[in-house]
Amino acid sequence: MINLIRLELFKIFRKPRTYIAFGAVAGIIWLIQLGFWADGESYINFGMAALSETFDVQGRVLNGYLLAYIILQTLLVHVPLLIALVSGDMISGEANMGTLRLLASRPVSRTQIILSKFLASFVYTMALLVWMAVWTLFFSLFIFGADDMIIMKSEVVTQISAADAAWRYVAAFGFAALAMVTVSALAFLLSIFAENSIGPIMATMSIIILFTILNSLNLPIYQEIKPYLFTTHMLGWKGFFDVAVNASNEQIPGSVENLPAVMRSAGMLLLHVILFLGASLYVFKRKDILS
Amino acid sequence: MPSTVETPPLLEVSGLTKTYGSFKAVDDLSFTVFPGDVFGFLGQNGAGKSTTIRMLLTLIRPNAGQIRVFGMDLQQHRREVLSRVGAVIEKPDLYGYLTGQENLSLFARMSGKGITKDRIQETLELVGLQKRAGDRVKTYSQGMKQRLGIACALVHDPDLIILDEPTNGLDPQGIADIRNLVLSLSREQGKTFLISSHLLAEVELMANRMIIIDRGKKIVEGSVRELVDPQDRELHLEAEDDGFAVACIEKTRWADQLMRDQLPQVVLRMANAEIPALVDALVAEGVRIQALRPVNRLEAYFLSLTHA
Repeated sequence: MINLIRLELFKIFRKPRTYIAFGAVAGIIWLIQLGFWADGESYINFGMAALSETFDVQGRVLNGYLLAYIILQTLLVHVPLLIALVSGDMISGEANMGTLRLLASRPVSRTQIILSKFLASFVYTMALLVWMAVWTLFFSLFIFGADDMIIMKSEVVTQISAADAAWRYVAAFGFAALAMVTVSALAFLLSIFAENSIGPIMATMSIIILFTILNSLNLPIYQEIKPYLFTTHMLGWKGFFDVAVNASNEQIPGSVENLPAVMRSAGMLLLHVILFLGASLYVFKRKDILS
Repeated sequence: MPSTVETPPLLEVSGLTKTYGSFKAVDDLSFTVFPGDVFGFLGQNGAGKSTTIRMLLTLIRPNAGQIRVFGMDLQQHRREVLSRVGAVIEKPDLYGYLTGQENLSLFARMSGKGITKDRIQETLELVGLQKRAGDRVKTYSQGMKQRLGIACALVHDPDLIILDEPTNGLDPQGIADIRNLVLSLSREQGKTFLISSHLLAEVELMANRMIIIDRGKKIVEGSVRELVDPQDRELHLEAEDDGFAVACIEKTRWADQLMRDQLPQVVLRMANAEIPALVDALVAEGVRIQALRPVNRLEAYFLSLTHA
């Protein structure tokens, strides 16, 4: 099995398409960092104008932690496409090239083929997330330095000390990884049904867009299904930046306001991964390979 | 050398059936391949050859029937069987972005056997690709891809090699190279081949046994020698005056061998050894012979299927 995973990783990382995602992530992050480096202060001052009238805000508001948060919010909407580029190609790409019949006629079981390919796409997803984390967090901290992080939401302002921010990012990236693996598993499942990779990639993105639209519609008819849509839970990483407060309304360092909700979202995502992978195994084991 | 029917079969297919809706792609097909055979699997395009081969390689599930390879049931011993089988199915599609050597190494590692670098090199040399092994496959010609596909099928030293239309898209030299490779592996290493083709002439040159299928059904199976017997062949005689030639033949001892159902064409069924005597007799009678061509009954039959 390890041998098969190695072979799959070899194929993924020898394919030029794989590096589109790494290049795109680095490029987008670099552009955001450049923009904030050139004009970030005025942008932040504008955003903080109302707050500054009431509070005396000291220190570096525009710091690496805040920028990493902004970048994560921006990028995690687009990364699924980059994930689908590779995962949606795992089976359909082989069918398109005509190599699927060669793989499936080797002395390895179809279960092994699916698991090795899925695990290889999992490694790719992790690699992309680590790459994103390095560019987002480390380079932002390197360029903009570290300080307390101020997050403004519609009704509340949360201040997280620099010492309390780092672990939240680790947890947020961990959660984001699970969300991206869910997307990867969906694209992987869809790739079994197609003989070219465009279909699964488009189908994955269409499903994500459709579910996201359903999430944003506050209509009673859709309220019942929202908890079961994986897109509802994909932004659960933000929960790590909601800090719990004590009876005196003081923040408790190292706490998360609603950890059960975050864990519930993680559980839902994990359940989706298992469902998508199980369906992939079920379909592929019964599939006649005609490509 | 090819084995005889007394030897236990290496591949035994019985009652194999595959349907797609109401369409029967393969219909109750049975045949046997013996160790050392070069077995020709003939049929026109769409006859069910590729579907059968895909079932032999577990790519397609049959609706009915049984496949036994090396004495084992294919479904129950899939892994064990496939580790001893090499195949090129239809086009030799490989990873274009990898080099020839990388492709071969990748499929070698999937065989479950410890394939050494020397073996990979040896296989590349066997198919004559050692000089281009470091180039990406997308730069290869069709013939080179075909040879690399065959190398992938041979690298793990299988006992049964299945080649589906191996000469498709090849130039005459490429076809000859593949034929020579098959014959040398069969004669020198005793490998068993199952070769599908829609070209009878090609199979005749390589195979010792063959089957012809049409619309998924077996039409005929047997040794090539029996099916294409040079000692009992049909000869088409063309003379300046065919009517006079027929009249002369009627007076000779070959009168019974004249195929009257073929008239006005002059066709005789006879052994090769008798041809000189026939020619001498007819010339002596004053028949001006213009041509004497052998008619391959199997080919005629096969062509009638193809043209149907």
